[in-house]
Amino acid sequence: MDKYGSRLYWHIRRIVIVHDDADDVLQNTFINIWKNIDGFRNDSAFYTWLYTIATREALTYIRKKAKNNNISLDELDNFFTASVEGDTWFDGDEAERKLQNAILKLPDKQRVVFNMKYYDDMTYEEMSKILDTSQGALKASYHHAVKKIERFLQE
Amino acid sequence: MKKEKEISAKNPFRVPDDYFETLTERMISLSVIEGEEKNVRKKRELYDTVRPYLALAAVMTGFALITAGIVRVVSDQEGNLLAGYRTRTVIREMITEEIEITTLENELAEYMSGNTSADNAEDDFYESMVIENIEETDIYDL
Repeated sequence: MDKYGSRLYWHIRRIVIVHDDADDVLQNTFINIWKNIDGFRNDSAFYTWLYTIATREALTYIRKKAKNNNISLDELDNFFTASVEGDTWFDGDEAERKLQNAILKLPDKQRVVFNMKYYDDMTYEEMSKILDTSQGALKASYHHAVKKIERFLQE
Repeated sequence: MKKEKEISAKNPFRVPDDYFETLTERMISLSVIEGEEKNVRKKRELYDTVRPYLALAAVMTGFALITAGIVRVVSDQEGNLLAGYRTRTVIREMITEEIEITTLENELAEYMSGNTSADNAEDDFYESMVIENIEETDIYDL
């Protein structure tokens, strides 16, 4: 728990942004892990399995939250930007805030790919297992994400 | 992108004090609660699995009890019929026996008085043979 708790939290936090939401999602993640521990197969690394559950829970959570707040997925980036602005648990400077806003402009899955590669330094092989996507598609996704962020930062 | 990487070297997000220190404890307590719920769910699943068989067993037991009840009622009725038949037979035999005893007593009384109906019948028979002129040897030709 000590080993994976903080890693999963930060992975989730970068997807849902708000601390309270991240805490809720982390709880749901651990409940799901506990529920499905019997079904865990040893053919994949344990942390890969944990990341898969955490990612799914986080993406489900933000979609549900958007629906509850009558926000379309296209408008979600504005919603997240506002969340960062008002988040008491965000203490980055202006440059960091701008980078976060640029990341939040990315579509959900592209944002997840970017975070996993950029912040968690995951290999494409690991990401491929977690996101069930080919390594080629992930490389392309990351490349597009970087380009978008650079464009946003240059504006 | 190197510039941005340098910017984000410091995590801009924060968490409440002692959040990670108490994380394990909170998650374990969640797991305990979930474990209890899981046990309840397992028991419920087991009950749900067994329930159709229990219902079937209950239906079969009920059917067996009803069948046994019907068989018993029918048997009792047949038993009563048989008992009634036996009673009637015994009464009939008793009456027959009584009649026979009465007849024997009457015949005995007639015999003791020396005027039996059997002797009278034989005398009448011989008398009719004489009247009709029938020989004893002719009797076998009749």
